[in-house]
Amino acid sequence: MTNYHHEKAAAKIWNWQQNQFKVDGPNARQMRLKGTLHSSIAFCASAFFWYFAHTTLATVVFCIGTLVLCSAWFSPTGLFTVIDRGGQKLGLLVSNSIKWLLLPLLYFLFFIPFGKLARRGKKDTMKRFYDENLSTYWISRDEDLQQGNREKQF
Amino acid sequence: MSKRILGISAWFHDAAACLLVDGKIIAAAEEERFSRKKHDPSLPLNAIRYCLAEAGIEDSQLDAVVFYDKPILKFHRILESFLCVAPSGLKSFVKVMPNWLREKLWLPPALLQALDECGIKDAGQLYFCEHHESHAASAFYPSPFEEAAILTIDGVGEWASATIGYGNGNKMELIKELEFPHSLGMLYSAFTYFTGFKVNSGEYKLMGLAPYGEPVYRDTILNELLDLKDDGSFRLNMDYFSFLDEQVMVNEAFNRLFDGPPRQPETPFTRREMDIARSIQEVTEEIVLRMATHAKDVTGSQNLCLAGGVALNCVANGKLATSGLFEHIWVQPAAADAGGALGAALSVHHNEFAQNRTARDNIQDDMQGSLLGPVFSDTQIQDYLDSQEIDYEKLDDENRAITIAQLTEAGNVIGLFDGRMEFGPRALGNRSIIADPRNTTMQATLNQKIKFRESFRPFAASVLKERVSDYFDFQHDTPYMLMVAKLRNELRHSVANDREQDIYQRANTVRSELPAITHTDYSCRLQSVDNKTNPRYYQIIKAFEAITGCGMVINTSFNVRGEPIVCTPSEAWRCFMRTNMDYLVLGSFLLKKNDSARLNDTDIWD
Repeated sequence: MTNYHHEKAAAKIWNWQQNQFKVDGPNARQMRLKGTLHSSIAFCASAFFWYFAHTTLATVVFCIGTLVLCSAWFSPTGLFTVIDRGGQKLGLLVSNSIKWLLLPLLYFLFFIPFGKLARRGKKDTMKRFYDENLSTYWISRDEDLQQGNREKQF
Repeated sequence: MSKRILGISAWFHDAAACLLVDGKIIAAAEEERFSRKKHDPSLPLNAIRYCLAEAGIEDSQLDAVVFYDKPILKFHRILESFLCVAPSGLKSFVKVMPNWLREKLWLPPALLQALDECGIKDAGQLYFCEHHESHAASAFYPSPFEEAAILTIDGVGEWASATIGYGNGNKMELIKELEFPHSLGMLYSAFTYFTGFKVNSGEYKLMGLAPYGEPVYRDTILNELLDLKDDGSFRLNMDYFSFLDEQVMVNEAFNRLFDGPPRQPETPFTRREMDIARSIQEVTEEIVLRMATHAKDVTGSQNLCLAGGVALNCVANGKLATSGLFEHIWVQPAAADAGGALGAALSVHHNEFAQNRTARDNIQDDMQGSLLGPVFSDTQIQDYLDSQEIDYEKLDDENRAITIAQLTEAGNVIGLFDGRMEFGPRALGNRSIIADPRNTTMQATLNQKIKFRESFRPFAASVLKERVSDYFDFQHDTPYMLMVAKLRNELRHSVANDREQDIYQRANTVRSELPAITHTDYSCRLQSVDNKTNPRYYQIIKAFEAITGCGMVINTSFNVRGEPIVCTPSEAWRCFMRTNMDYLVLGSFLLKKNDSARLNDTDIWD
């Protein structure tokens, strides 16, 4: 016999709904932690550049790291939030740029030549066109819905 | 130890979760109802949490988790599509690929992480059903039939866009399929886009627009866009479609064929759009009928189960039912992708775990009225109302239905929030707005003041099951509002030819004794309500009948344009306060607009 837990389930989801309507500001502790982590990475990078005698670059990265660390500790929900948002936007810009650089390259190097190769001799690999010789377009399924097949993603 | 199977659909549209315990559907819900994002496709964390809580198995273990399609096969189809159209398709490739590479190809870890967040440490075996297997299982296993033909039609799954199958006992097989890019769902969506509606959500608007037009483009569609065979199979003429290589559905050739560019959203309708809507609707009906005929030939069954997005086309369903082709037809109420979560779980229950189905009687299905979502007790509602200092009147069980019926009869619009939330796109009386269908101004009132939407579309009717044939030329059960039927002749008013009139004028013309639910072609989308499945809703309509002699009410979903149907009492109250509804029924509590505290408009709405 199945037992329902209506009240408990209702209480659970309704609480979520109420929570969703609250607009919480960023948590200062989390932001400090995030800033510390980011600045640590910057300091490591700075040390790396310093070691290989890129002193100017090392100084710039060190200054950025210091700014991030200070803002995270002294203004975690103010200045650091602004810097963090800017960093995210920059990250998005970089990822979009890479996307538009790498994916077209992949498309031109792989999909265009192999696509053309697959279609040579006007082959209709995807059965896109009408076929007047067929009396039906239904395709009989040759594989059954067998046990075990469902464990695979293909 | 009972078998617990969690079904999940996600990452396309209408993500949902469903939980089976020993084959019984304990809970099912769409993610959009919790996240409040319409057609939310994201992994349904909230819906999963709800399902687990409903069965009391949070922090526990599952026997299986089933995803509703096979992502690698889908990815293969996408790659092959690009291979087929390259060098065009680059823009689409760059847009589609990151999503797949970042997220969709890594489903098992994402699922396990999501379940971990929901408290499930041992998710059991992970399964992946084919997309159309999930649809077919959602149509057959909960149906009232021991054996049946199964027809699934939608946009596309992995490769299949439509399948014919056969189910008997706990076994189900898919016999034939049509493959992408030849898809009835895509064809209908192409016209949805062309007539200025949103693809994957505006299809029902196109269906609602059809009766205003004439089928002047029917032959054009059949001759130019399709090669349709007698058995309902077809191929699309891909010279007119661009969904393979672009992010839009149709191309310039299509525009030329249909006398100009697509209608821009929110601009006025012209005769062309209405005629196009009517034409594609007729073609769709023709294809569905031919497919169903072929399914009958292949399986020899007198019963038909339907699922897939196209099965939400209730005009086609109604015509299929009245054609007499099958003795019985059953349509899965969550026929679109949300229902895939249910079908996937059921398929694993019966096929992998080899569990039997209970005996069938051709009448009672397993969907429990599709009332599978959260329910809120009177205590919870009262606590909420008291905490918000909202005035209310408590209705006792004896007078509740009569009071609501009296208010409806007096011309009020009533928000009805009661019992478990519906699973699927239709509100079936538990998250509904109801009103008097005899009222000549009610259609306009509901559209403009409550729903804030285009007013050309008619409202559905909830009719007492035993009185359906008194009002409609229809003899079938339609508990999930998935059939359209014609109003009986004696209830119709003769109306002068108004074809040249403005569409909104036509929509508001009084055409029958029940003008608010009567479309321009005297059709109506209807839900038959019986005392067994939803007694509290039945009692309201019965009480309305006792007062007025009319055994039906208008039933439209409890939401406003662009918003998912309300889920919780607080959402119902917010919706109530921001629209021109007159009364709100929350369980056993009645709220009147004038008595309630005004909503502070700085509150967050969505």
